[in-house]
Amino acid sequence: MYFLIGVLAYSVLALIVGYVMLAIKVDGADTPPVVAVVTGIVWPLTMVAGIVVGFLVGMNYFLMWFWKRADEVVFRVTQKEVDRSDYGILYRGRASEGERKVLVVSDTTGTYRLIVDPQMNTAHEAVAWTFQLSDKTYKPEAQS
Amino acid sequence: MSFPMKLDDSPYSEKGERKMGKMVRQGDVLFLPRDNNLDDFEGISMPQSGKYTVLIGEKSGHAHKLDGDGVTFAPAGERSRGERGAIGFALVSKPVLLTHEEHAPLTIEPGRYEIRRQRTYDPHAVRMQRRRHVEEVMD
Repeated sequence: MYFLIGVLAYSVLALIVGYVMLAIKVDGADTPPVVAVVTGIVWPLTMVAGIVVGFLVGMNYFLMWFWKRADEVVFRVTQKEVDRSDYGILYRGRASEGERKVLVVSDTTGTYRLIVDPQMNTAHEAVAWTFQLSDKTYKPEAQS
Repeated sequence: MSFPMKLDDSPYSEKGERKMGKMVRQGDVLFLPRDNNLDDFEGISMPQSGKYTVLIGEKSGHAHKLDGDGVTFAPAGERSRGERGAIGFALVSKPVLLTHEEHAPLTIEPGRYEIRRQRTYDPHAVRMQRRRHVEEVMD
């Protein structure tokens, strides 16, 4: 998707530039040399450059997206439960960076997954880490 | 108005005891009671009344709001934001309601609070940080 958006954006830009150049050419009785150069060389080059840049930018985003999804799939296949408590479920699994730990929490908004520091050993410790606290300090008296 | 406040709505009782707030969590926002360290509160003054938006969700657009009078709020500085994930500081002089579209409302008791936002671990950022550290050491 990002690839398509990138190509589309740069191609549209190139088309606009080309259209402006053509408009200048049509309006003039004689084609000035500068317009001939622009329409003959600059426009096609802009078009090609637009597609190449769009491709590279789009490809970059696509690879980042793909890498993230691939990591998630590998993690879910290899995940094993480490700890379970009222604070959530802590899983350990494999990912591109090595060992990854994910805390799965359910609340009124649904269930969500948080990647936490791999050094966490309990769900309580993990949720405390997400607020930059220790498990001894993190004891909310009310939550929703 | 500036911190520490010395008004009738002070977070200290008549006996001089501090009225400690309670730790409250609503989704990805945590109200953390603070007592001794007043450095973060110095030099800030932004009295608020009525509704104050603490945080707006990036994806949903839903907001955590403080609904009621008696709240003095200040956004966190760069240091507090970077070191502890603080998004702001609040001095609550009377109970106020913390509301959100998807979460049940919670009461914030009087006291001083540091407001923190939940974070996640970013393996890519950590890798980049380690790489930068190695490059610095090698230089």
